Amino acid sequence: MVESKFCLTSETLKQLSAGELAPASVREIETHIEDCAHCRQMLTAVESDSQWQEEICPVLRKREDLTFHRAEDSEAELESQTLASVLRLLGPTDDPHMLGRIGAYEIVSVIGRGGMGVVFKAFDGALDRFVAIKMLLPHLAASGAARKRFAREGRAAAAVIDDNVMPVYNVDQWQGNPYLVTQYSRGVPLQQRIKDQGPLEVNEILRIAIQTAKGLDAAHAQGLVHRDIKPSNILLDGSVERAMLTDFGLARAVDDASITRTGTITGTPQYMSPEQACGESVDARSDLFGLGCVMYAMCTGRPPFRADNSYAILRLIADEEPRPIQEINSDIPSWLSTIISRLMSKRPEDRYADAAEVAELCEACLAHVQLPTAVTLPDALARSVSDRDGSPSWRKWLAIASLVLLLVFAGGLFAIEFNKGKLVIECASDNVPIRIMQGGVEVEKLTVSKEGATIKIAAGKYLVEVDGDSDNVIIEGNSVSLGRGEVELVKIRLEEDSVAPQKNLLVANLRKFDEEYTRRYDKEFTELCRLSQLKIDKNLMVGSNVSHSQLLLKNVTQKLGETQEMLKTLVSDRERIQAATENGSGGIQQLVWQFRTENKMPREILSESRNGRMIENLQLRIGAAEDAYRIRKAQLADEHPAVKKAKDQLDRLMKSLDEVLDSPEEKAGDFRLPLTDAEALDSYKKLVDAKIKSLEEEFRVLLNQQNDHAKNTKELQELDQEIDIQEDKVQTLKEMLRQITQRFAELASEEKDAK
Amino acid sequence: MAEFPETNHNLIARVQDLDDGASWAEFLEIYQPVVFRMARKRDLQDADAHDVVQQVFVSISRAIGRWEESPDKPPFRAWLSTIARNAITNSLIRRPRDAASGASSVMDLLNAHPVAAETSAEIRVEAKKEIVRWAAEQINGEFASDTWEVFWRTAIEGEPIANVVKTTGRTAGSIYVIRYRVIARLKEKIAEVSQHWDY
Repeated sequence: MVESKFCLTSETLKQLSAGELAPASVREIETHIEDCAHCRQMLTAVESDSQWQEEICPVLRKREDLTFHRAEDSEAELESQTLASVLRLLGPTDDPHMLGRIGAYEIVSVIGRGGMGVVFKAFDGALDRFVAIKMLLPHLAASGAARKRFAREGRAAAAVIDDNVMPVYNVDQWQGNPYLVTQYSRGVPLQQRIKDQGPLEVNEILRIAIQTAKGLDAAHAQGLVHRDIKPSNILLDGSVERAMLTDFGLARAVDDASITRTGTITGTPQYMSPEQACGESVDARSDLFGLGCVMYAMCTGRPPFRADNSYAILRLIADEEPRPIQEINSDIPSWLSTIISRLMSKRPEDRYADAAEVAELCEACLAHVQLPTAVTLPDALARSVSDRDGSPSWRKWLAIASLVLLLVFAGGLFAIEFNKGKLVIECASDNVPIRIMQGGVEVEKLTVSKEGATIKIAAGKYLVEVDGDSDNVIIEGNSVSLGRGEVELVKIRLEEDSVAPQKNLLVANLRKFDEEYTRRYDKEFTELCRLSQLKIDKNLMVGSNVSHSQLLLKNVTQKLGETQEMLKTLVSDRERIQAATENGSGGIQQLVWQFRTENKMPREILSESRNGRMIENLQLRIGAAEDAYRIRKAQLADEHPAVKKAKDQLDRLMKSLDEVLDSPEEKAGDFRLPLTDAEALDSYKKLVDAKIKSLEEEFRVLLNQQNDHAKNTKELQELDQEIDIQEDKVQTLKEMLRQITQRFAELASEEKDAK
Repeated sequence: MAEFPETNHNLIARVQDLDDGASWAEFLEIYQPVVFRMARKRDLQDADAHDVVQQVFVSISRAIGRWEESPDKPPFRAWLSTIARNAITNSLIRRPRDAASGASSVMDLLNAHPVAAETSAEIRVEAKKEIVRWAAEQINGEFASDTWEVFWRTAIEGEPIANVVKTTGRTAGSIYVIRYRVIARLKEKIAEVSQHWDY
């Protein structure tokens, strides 16, 4: 077989088994080996050795009939179930080597799983690279707050571009479950390194601390707090030994989910800061505490605070100092533990100002470690070190001097001079009878009060005991070896109730939670009351508005009716005049008579010209008046736009009144919000704002309508006036007509006389 | 005497530190079935064998904290095998009075007492088998179920590749690649586990 460019090499084989070949390359190999016996043999070599033939294959082939049924660990069961539920979420894939698909990513394998999420190794076909996908477990994604937070923090983390922060490529959702796409790295978590190798070398500790601090600085510059700095979140990238921070902000999303689910803290709080442990607000300086804890773990091989349960750990974090580093690992220089102590200060303001300062300081220290003679320690550290690293005798002297000073200033301790040695007794309780024994013989017997006692006594070995039975008293350093001219301290203290501080802390936490809850609830309740009041006011306003409009419309309608009535009269009058005119002089006479009987036409006014032209003219004017009259009539009829408009407006107003009156229940539904956290409150505020806005809008519309209404009313009034004017005109015309008819009559009688 | 070979000290430390749940769980997962089978092969009933397993591992968990490395003491594996052997032997001696098997007499059971070297060898063989099974179980989830099936049918049950090509519609080339990948991964896992829990 001729070797082609497709032939397998040991390198490609390695990549094939590690799953590092792109799908296209794998398909090339598949096609190639069907023809190439040589390469096929390379592949099957793995199953032709004795390990496979004798040790593995027969064992797997033979079904073991003596099966051991493990007591099922319910936790493990749950985990495998959730993993199965995640795998079910995956979309189908065409590639037989893949587990499935999430969005555009082909899933290669599961590389990790925890209580909160699953990490997949996936292949990004578009960019031809492997990526890691972190997906929130489906039951956690059911919490809306957690889901949103996961996506939001993920996007924030994606904005941080730094060599020491694991790059986030993408944030998306798959079937409602948010996921992050990050760089795929084969690095080892710092946690693993510490577990396998124990404490690290000083220069390595500094290097990792510098890089972590730089990563933190970059994130803090974006306003992002990690909140969960711990060795398992720091990845050491294999080849170049670069430290990268991972899982930014996810702690927060996970908090949301787990709190919603069980109301308790899950996971190990070993690397929490005191302010986190006490439930106080958290800022960038919390991450510095975490960094201090990580450095402590690198120095000693173990976390700074360890206890049986989470609450005990929280108590330690809040109240206790960790065991001094040098006690555990004497190779650590004191300046390094000084840095760590300051990072781990209980109060955030006692820590370094920011991560950049820590990075800078550690860089200076690293330079010193690498070239101790050429580069000196930074001033601040050099000072604190000289304070600590005095010569032993000087230190002892200092200790004694400070002890003596303490005795003098406390004023509560007697000092009786003796030439041999001094035994100083401090006591936390009154009336404690003690005896000082030497070789089973009582040397001295006394009762000690809170003020303590100092006994001068010959050098030698003594045992200080309680004289009688006082169970609750403990004597520290009760076996004393007193040297000539030396001072030895014996402390008597009361046995502490070890449960009490923990209980107090829990009670305090509970109270704090209670207050917080009440505070939030009150705020929300006030807001709700305010909103309800606002709604009631609006309802009243809209109601009065509507009744006002109704009144107006009633008036308008009434006036309109009156006008129509009047018009009717006018019309009948006009018709009668017309009819009379058409019927000739007789008709006119009849009409005149009729008018007269109705006292409508005084005889005196009939004294006008006899000109026929004038009559014509008058007739024309009557015609014009009739036209105007007809138009006005049409205008004032029911279908007149103004009336229609007014009616529409009333309808609209009635409708909006109904709406407002009907809505309270429906709108009240929106106020039933979960009073869980700041976010819910936030969205609730937005809802309230939106409601106020819509009510204001409604109010504005009503105002406009009111204005329109006023305008219409005015228009109607104008119409009324115009009708009055027209009426006057008609009256005038009527009078003219009467005059004209009069003239007709006169002319007729003149003609008759002339004949 | 074929004792357990020497092992990685950090791993001993991890088992010793019972807080490290993962290591202890792994240790249990591999050695519990081993002890169980040895007990069953000595004619103990299922429930009794489970009791023996419990006794053995309770005593191991108590003893393990006491182990200290020292040049003049036996290496960890040897020590562990002694503990396991003693625990099994003790359980088997105490067992007969309430054992249900009517045929057994005290003499039979005494004869059945494991001889030290034999027990060691047996633990070794059984542990080796169990590591293989356990590793296969562990990596199963890393592959799609039909991929695993192709591997199992061709590589373990010896079904001809042509058959599988016909029934699954995969190419022969892809079946070779699958077999290679699963076997390579299985060997890797076995090596990793053996390094922890050497047989």
